[in-house]
Amino acid sequence: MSAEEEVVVEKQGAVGWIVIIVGLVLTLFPIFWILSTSLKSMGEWVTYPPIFIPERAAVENYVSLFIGASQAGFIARVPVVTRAIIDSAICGVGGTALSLIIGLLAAFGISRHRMGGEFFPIFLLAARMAPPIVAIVPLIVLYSILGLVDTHIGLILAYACFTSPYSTWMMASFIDEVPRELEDSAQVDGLSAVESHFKVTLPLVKGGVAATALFLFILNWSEFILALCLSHVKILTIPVQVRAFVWYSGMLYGPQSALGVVAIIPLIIFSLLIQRYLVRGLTFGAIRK
Amino acid sequence: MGSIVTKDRTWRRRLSDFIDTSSGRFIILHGPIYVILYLILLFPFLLEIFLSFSNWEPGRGEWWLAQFNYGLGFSMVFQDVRLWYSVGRTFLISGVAVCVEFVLGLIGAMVFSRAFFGKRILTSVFLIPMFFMPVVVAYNFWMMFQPQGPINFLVGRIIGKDIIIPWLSEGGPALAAIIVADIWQWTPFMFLIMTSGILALPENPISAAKVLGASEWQIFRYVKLPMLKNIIIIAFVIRFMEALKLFDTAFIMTGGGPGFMTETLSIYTYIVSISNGRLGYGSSVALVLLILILFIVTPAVRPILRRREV
Amino acid sequence: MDITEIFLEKLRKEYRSLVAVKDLTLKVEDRSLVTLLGPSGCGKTTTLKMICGLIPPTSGEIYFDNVKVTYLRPQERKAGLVFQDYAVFPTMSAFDNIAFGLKIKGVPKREIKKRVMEVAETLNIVEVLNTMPGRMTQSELQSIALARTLVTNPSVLLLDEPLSNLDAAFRIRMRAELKRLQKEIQQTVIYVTHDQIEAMSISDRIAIMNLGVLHQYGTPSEVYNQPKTKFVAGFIGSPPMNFIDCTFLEDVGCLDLGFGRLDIGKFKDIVDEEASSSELIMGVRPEDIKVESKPEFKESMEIVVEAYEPLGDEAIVDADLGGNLVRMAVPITLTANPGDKKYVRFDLNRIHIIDKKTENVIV
Repeated sequence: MSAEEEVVVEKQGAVGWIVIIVGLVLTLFPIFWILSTSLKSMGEWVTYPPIFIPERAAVENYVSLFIGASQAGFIARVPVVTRAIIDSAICGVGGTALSLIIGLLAAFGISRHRMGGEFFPIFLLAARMAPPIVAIVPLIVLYSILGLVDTHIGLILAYACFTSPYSTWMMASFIDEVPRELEDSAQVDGLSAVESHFKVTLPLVKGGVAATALFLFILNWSEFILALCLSHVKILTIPVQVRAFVWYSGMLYGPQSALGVVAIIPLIIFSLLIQRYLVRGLTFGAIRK
Repeated sequence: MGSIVTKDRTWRRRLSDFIDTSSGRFIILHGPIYVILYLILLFPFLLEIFLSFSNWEPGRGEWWLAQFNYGLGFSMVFQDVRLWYSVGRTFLISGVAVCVEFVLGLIGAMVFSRAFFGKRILTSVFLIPMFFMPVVVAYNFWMMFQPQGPINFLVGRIIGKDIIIPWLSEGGPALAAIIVADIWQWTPFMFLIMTSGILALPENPISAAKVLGASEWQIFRYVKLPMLKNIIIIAFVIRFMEALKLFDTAFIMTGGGPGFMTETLSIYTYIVSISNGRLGYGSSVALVLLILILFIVTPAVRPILRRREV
Repeated sequence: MDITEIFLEKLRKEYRSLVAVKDLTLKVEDRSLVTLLGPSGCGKTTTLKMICGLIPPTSGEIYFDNVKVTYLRPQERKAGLVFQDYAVFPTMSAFDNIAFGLKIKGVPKREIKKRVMEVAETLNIVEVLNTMPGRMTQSELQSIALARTLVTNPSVLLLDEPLSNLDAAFRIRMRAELKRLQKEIQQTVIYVTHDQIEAMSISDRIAIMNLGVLHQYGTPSEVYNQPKTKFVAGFIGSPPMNFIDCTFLEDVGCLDLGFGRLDIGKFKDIVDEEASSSELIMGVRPEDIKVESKPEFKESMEIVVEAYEPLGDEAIVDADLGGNLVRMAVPITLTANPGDKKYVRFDLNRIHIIDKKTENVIV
């Protein structure tokens, strides 16, 4: 049987196209809305009927995020978000890196050595099941004892901890796909087990590891509740900042939406890159393509 | 000079030999994750148990001096109506949202099982909402559901007269608004799972059904769908599990309000523990919730673990 | 049963990197069992899939009873297909599997039950009707797959290597079963296999293919005794035909075999005409070489035995003949040891002369 068989696939019918168009509208409308709001000038924010397409592109919404409101022509106070971006980046990258390393090691343990036996995978799963708030309550106490509240390190540790189940599961499923025999033959040649993990298998799962890294970054970048509880004044991540617009600065829809749009951009880019690997990570590897 | 070199080498050799033993491997590979998880989760967990037996509030003094209340807190938990309303409400939101997401995802997967122009791009487009920051999604929908916002406007246009549905200011509509936001964000997840599942189906039974004369719809209903059953269950369980944790969306859209009509169990716990500062009682609540969820979700999670063994 | 003959006209399937089927023209008579025979990758499964509609041809036509079906969807043709791996629906019981084709056409339940039971009895699978596929043996699965198509009364039954997943003893039994069944229900069958023994034992006619090209289409006896190309000659028969390189000596009317000469008498003129050069190959089956211990005849040629394998009622003698390893089948009464000298003779009526370049059989 030749490898290039094509089986006839049906072409899309009219009903299908209607569904696609409707789906497209519903999916894109909210995206459109926040984009358009981010480009509306102040007077256009709260009008009735609502304005869908602004008269001109109010770029000052974006500018004010970075250089302060008054310079951009605003009367009200708009917090400068560069600090939020930096804090988010530090905690995001740091948390991701830590989680990645820990998860990779543990993944080898689970996949190659069945470490922790029956119990550990279940424990990881349970860690993912519980609502974060349940762990945060005592965590706050612990952190205040250790002096980790409102610090980058504290947040990075917490991020790594809470994303380690994802990290471990995803990479374990990638490692599972590399046949054990490769490591075995390397060990026969004299490498130790751990060495064979890193020298033989790791290069083969580079793609999976990269995808996991991006996935973790997406999680950490969007992380809200941890940052909300564990950081107050000194540290501000973007999600907390977005909310801050609502209460403290009044209804500044324009810049707020602009911040939302800015926050989303890296996520969309990363998502396009990792689409192939997604299914495995999200379903604990239950589905392999 | 020579002796220092040899000492160094034996030290390193002994280290790598040690790493190679099973306990050495364990320490290196599993050590870090155990450290982090147990330190940051387990230790506070024990702390939580301790705290739950007290009625500590940070304002009143140091935690180890907190007054022991002999588990009085737990009986308070069981009598806490607001808590149990939030639990029921969370299950309601999750249940409704996940079911709708499933149906929509299924429809999408069916449509996408045919070939058509621009399929790859459209697939990526339809997956975008999944990657939005929940905070931003929440904020966005908060804007859209404003009394004078675009949603009311468009509804009014469809009905024919201006209508102002008090989305965020009344309990019922507010719940609906939150559910809509969740559906918008997470339907792509179901869609992705189903599409992947369908792509992974073996080709031959489907071809056999074609030759036997089945129409596309018949093939979908009698052949493809039953073969997807396992995957559907897994998707359901995973999505439901995540939905129970709902915090960001509801918090930003309504703050749990009006009053406490849209509190999810996470929000309530947050309010009790952190907003109100009653960490002692909050710990009791958190513990009870943890046990409850573990009990409910664990049996449902078996299919996933079974696949892992394969 | 209606008359159904299948006609393939210049059927061609091209992929980006290869041509799977090249201009295949073939007619399958009503109620006959025709086998598409050839090694893996020769295009037989592709042809099968084109006949039932799963793959569209690049060019050419397919006719079911003079009706052009070339571009009809599989659902619209009345063909039945059994896959090599059976492709049973894993989520349905055996009964539901078999009933599937009828159920989707809206046949009433009672009728379905009757027809399913009929087929199940014919194939002897009534006991497993209520089991799920996960618990069935290979042979049960095969019967289910077969029943599933038979119950829909297809115009033509297409079988893709249906016996290759069964163990050897069972395979032989099933061969006879299938043939008996085909004759009994008078079904037109197109059978695909790479096993030439299988093809020889059950087919009315065999179509031998290699690399997408049809080499010969004929009855088993035709392809055995009168192969048209070297490929067919070497593919059919077990043990396979021997090929000996030789040259045609025009003036003497002989073939120079390297270890002797063979006078080809009456074939001299044909060879002279048809051969493109004097480089030829002589093909002779192991059982057609006469081996004797003494040079009794004028034509006897001397050989040195290299190996001797006794096989029960006959034995195989290997010898090097002019650089070619030749295997000869001899009665068990003739014994030999490596190094012995023996004498071989060829029957002119049982040899095939093959043009080395075109690989066509001239005689």
